[in-house]
Amino acid sequence: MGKPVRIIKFLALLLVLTLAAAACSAPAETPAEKADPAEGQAGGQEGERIVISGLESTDIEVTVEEIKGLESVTVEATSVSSSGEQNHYTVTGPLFDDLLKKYGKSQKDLVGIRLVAGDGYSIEVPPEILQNRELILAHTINGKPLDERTRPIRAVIPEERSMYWIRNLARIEVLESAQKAEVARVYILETLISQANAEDYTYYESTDRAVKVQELLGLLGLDSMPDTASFVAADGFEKNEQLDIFSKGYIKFTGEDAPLFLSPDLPKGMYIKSIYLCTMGDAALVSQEMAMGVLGTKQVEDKEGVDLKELIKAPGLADADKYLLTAADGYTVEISRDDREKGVVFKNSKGQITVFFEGLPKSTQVKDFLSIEGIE
Amino acid sequence: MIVAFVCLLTACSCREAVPDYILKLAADGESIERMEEYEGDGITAVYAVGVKGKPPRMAAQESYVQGFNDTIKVLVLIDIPTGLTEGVHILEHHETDDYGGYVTEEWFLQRFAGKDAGTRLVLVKMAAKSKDDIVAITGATYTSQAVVDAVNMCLINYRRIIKEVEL
Repeated sequence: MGKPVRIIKFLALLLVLTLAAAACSAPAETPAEKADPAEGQAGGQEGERIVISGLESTDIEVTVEEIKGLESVTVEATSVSSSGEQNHYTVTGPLFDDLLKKYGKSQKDLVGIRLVAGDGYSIEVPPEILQNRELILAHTINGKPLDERTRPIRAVIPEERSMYWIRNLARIEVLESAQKAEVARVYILETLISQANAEDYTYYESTDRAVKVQELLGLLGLDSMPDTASFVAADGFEKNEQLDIFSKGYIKFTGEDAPLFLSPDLPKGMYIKSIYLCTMGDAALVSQEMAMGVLGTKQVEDKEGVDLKELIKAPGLADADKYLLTAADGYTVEISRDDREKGVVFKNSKGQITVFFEGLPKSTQVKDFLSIEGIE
Repeated sequence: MIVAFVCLLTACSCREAVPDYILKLAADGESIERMEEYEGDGITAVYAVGVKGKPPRMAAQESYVQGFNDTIKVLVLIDIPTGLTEGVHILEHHETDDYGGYVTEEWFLQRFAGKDAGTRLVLVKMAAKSKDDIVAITGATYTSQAVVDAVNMCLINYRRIIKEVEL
């Protein structure tokens, strides 16, 4: 082999080695690639983004750099936990409203948004909050960058419940205006639950009983499934939940915080305690026990319970000339509009939710009272 | 096995001061010996508790695991004659009050009592279906899993000790 050939081979080998070395020195995995979104990794790292859906025909991806490039505000903000505990923070980040302006929108015009975290936690922010509060896309809290679990962005709504302060924000869904269906039938939650298969559910130290929401939905036999379920708790707390999330959970009906929506696969912040009312499409579920606290009680003879008229009115059941009351076993009773105020819904000695009408024949009494609906 | 265990117990010496929570495990007339050769891989301390010259009655092991926020230090006690867990205690944690902070609650720790040291505990979420199931703290799966991992680590180490002593 001649000398020039050896030099060429040497140079070629050198080139190969140089290229190989260059390839090896490049990071095989950037931190962002390695990061599991569910673990809340990597704030401010290149390529990180949050997704905004519902603003335009396709999803919009906004990088964290873009968000940080918007004008930031720094505010003293207070979060309120479900137990009423207040925590104070100094929060820095741009307003969501300023981000929306880039797309020709305003926060005040939105009918609702859903904030979704990397671990699947999500919460709907209703229009009342969007119109009256600021939503800050926080990248700095108390003067420090966000920690691993909170990065890259934390949604902060000052002075609102901490459930709206979403760590590891992954997605903002802009919701469309939903026509609220008129309630056509009101179900008594306790009776409905008694028709389902209960199972043990360990809740902190106690073993309580719970039923699958999916089974309850099956018992309702709704003609069409709405997208969301709207809840009102006994303390006045209101929340909308996507039906596909709600349907995967349980209603715990004994023990502390019952009736409680929960799921072993959902973050605790998505649980709903002391459910008084749940509306899905044209069906409303009312807890008689919670209604006693919310609507007050009335006494008829030795029976203390909820005024039937109030129980019909509160969920928004349309006015009708007559009403049909149905028991769990299919027994039905028809009453007139005027008879509504004679009725009391109480729990009898066997624990059955029962309707009793003052001054009406005993046959109008409905044990295991399941539902009421208006009829022509 | 017993003879070997007695020898092991007698031969052990403590280089570091024994913490109070370990000292409290010894009844009158009992002593505590450290078994350093069985430490490592997350097990930070192993002690045998009993009357010197007699088979020890309890194995006490400390382990560190990663919780949700930070490390959790767990103490696992095993009753040697029965081979059952006698108790699990949380020595240190930094979990959030509203979530993993329940890890020190007696109702949670009681779920680990009386478990066969020859088994592997499994974390479940709603209800225990078998004797080896440990129901997670509501809303604190990470923390609960960490404690189960710590206890399992100690059970495995205990089985190793027993096996080697038998040899």
